[in-house]
Amino acid sequence: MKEKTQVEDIDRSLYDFRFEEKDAFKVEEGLTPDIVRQISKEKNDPEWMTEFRLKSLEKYNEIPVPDWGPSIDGLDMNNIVTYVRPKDNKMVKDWEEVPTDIRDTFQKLGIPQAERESLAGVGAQFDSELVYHNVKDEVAAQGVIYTDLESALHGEYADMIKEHFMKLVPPTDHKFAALHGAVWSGGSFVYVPPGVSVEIPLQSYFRLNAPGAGQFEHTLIIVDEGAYLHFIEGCSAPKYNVANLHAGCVELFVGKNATLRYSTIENWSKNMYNLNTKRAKVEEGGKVEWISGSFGSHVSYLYPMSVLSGEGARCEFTSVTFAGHGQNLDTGTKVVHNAPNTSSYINTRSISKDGGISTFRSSVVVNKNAKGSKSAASCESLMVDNISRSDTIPAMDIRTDDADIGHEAKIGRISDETVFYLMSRGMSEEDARALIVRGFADNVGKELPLEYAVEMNNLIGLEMKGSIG
Amino acid sequence: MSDKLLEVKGLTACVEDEDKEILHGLDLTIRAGETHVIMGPNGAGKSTLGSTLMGDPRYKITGGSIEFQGEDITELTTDKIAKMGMFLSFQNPIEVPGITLANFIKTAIENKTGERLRFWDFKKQLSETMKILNMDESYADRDLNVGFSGGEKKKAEILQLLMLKPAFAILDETDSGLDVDAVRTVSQGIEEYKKTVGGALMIITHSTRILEALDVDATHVLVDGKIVANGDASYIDEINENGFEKFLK
Amino acid sequence: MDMKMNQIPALTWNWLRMNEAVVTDVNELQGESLLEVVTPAGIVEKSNQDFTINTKTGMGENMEKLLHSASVPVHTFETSEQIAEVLKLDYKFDGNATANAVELKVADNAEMTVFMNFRSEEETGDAAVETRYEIGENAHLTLIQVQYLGDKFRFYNNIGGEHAENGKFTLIQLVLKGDKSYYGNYSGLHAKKSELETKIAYMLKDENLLDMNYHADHTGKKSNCDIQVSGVLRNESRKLFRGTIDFHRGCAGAVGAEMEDVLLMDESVRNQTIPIILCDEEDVSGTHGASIGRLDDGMMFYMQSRGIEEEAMYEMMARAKIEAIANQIPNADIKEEVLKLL
Repeated sequence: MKEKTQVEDIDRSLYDFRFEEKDAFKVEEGLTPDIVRQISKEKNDPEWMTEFRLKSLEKYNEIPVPDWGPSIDGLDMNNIVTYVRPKDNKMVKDWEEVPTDIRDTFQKLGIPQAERESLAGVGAQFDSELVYHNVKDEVAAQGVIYTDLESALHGEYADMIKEHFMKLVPPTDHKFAALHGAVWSGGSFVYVPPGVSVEIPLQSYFRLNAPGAGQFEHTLIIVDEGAYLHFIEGCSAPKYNVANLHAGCVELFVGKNATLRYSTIENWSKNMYNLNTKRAKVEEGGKVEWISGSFGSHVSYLYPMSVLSGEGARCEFTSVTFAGHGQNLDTGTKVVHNAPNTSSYINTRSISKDGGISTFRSSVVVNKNAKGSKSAASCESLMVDNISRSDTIPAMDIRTDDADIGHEAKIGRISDETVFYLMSRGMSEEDARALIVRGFADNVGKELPLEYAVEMNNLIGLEMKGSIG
Repeated sequence: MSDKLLEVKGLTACVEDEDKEILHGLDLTIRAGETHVIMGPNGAGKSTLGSTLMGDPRYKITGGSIEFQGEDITELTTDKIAKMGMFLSFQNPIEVPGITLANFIKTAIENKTGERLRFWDFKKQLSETMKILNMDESYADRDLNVGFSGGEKKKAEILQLLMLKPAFAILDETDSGLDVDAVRTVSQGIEEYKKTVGGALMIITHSTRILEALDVDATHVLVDGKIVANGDASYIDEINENGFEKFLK
Repeated sequence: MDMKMNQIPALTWNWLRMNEAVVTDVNELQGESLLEVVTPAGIVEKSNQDFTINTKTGMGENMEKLLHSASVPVHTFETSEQIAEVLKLDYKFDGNATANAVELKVADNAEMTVFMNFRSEEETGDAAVETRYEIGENAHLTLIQVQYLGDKFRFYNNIGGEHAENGKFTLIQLVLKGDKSYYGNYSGLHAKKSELETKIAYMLKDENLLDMNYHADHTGKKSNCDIQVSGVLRNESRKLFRGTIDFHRGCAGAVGAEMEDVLLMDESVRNQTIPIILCDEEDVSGTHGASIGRLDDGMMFYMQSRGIEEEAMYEMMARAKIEAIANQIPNADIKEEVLKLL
């Protein structure tokens, strides 16, 4: 039995601590071809990558800002530092060799401990560069590659990277994909060979420490035929009163009969513009499972996309979004059924509180060739008070008759009756409401490993503090 | 008197947003350990009385007082009243998705005592209590009341009663809609509560089946928001035979 | 010329091309088409140069402008009584890009049922109708529209109106025949307990298109909307349903429901749906449900086991969907007339 209903306080300072980095290397603020060339040089890119970056920058300047989502007027690229390298940066395999300040940061976030106890490998990124990357010997012995993308770009997997990098999310996809293509730095590369099942999860943790900076990590995962991987992504940043930007990119290639579970608890600080792109391509009989909790950031655009391109490919998308004071979180998913007998399952919960805005946005496209496909979606929204907002904008485009599509959406409030019932058993109103919200978010909670479920429940508890007016 | 557990005086209450008065000046005294039965026709205000005592915000107290454990509780919130030892078994227990029955009870006990329970102690106690109620142990890990049958919901209420051990329990139509076996099980649970906790009971009911094994101290007839008659246990049989007609003037 | 219409109140990804309808080669509208009216006693007909009801419409401003540029008279039908008999408006479109404008006004405590029968004399042509309504306190307007047009006909059917307290609008629409149909309705549920009930059934074939935009705008306390759409797609036909339940702050106690049910009958059909719920009021309940697909395998097997062939089964189910809506027409004569068309 899992302990998921404890009502405990956690301190926001758990995420808010920071330190001043005097010795970090930074490029100038803004976005010009010179800055992009400088980043490319600093990173010792191969020539094709320098070209790729510059072309992406051109695209970035051509593509307009989206006219349909939350406003990003508060984000001025001229004020964003796109590359910050921590002092004395080198990526190491031993926490003892990580500079003290940075090591302390990750220790407070519990990363080394989690690595010892329940992970098969960890990558830790601080601002623009990885500071630590390690994978357990027995996992490495199975042929699993887990490293930073930069080393992979120069090593024996260089061709594999070139073949896959930004092929699923091309820089032309949207403005912030183009931005990512121009200034990306850091992130992880995972390759799981055919038939290998990685029993315990790998985790990459992204920490943005510098004020006014952007983080643009690129995660590329290839799970080969019949293999299994659970990958966990964590992210956080201390709060500043200037805008920070996260425009990461995740590309997942799920091979024939392979399964990839990708879990995220996103807890960016509330000055963050989180314009992130995640996409998976799933081959015959393969499956991608997205588990996603969005709690942080000022503005989010986040719609993990599943392209079901092989017969019988499947995707499951399970998410919870919690928008509190000053947050406008536009989240959801996109699915394209591109082969026969594919199936998608979407289960989302949104919570709006204290003036927060949450929008669930989705698209399910079933192409003509996707005969025998199934899609089921259920999205529920909870309004915690009367000053918040919750929108549901799902779109379906079905281009074959041989498809079975179900969709359900529901919006409502916390019922007074339920609050009374819980209070009659001795719970305070605040605790009762927090408990109800936790139960509401349990679609994600029960899919997460225990420690992460606890972290998520703590975040909900934190958000629900003082929720009674 | 010092052993008065609950003393209700001249209680009037209405629905919060409609200003329609349902209780019109109600008096009731219950002493520690006593068993009282509330009977009355449909719509008399029996459930409203139970909910109002428990501090349900859907009802507004417009006059009179409620003293519980020697303290005026008319202004207290439901959770405070619960912590003082009052328990309401709901007529229609609420479904709470995402929270397991076991976790809910554990949280409620910890909330009441302010102490962390040791997991195995709790688990053991819970499974023993579930046995008394013929409840399949798998219910412990199911979401609270979600998808439970009517009978299982009522058993889950009695399970909470036995685990939380309150000084005073209101059972609102706990026997309604149950088959004979389920009524027997629920009755066993109530006997167990009397035996081990020795708390007072206020039983709102239509039938006598649930009362058979209990020593009833007093019976009250509630009509149109007022107690119109008080009697001893023999009253129950009389009402069952003759109905409420003589009280409906 | 090209024209945008039927835009949803909250936009989504442009690549889906579902945010609005882009209609190409729009013809300018000129002159009214023939309209035969049977007016029961108690209903007053007036003719005005312009609309007297100020409201938004489902298809939006571009469509309004297109219609208004034809400068046709606005026929206003008003009542302050409870009229049991049906006001019949028989449209016979001649195919020359015609425009018709109607206003329906139901005073406090009054009731009116209106039947609009859209027919064409030619196989090809364009026609546009704009209907505005105004429903008084405790009043009820029922509008029944049946479209049975030529196979090459393009039709714009635009509705919009406002409700007073406890005012109810029942809209029943049956789209049975015609090529490209653009439908929209806007209901201003701004008064307490105002109510909208919409039931739409359609049957599309060949390269037919039905493009819809329905907007229930809730600001009234305890206002209510219920939108049911049900239909059948055959051949290469395409349907796009946009439905928005728009809960604004202050509409405490409001309830909104949208339900869609689509039967796909041929390989090349295309079904697009975008059911939106916008909400910035806590005390509301909104739901949406959609079920899209072929006939259920279990049901097919059951019926086949009773000796019914697949083709016949689909025919039966398609008919049943339309009939289910047609059967809700309150007037027996009209119901019979509609069922005859099937």
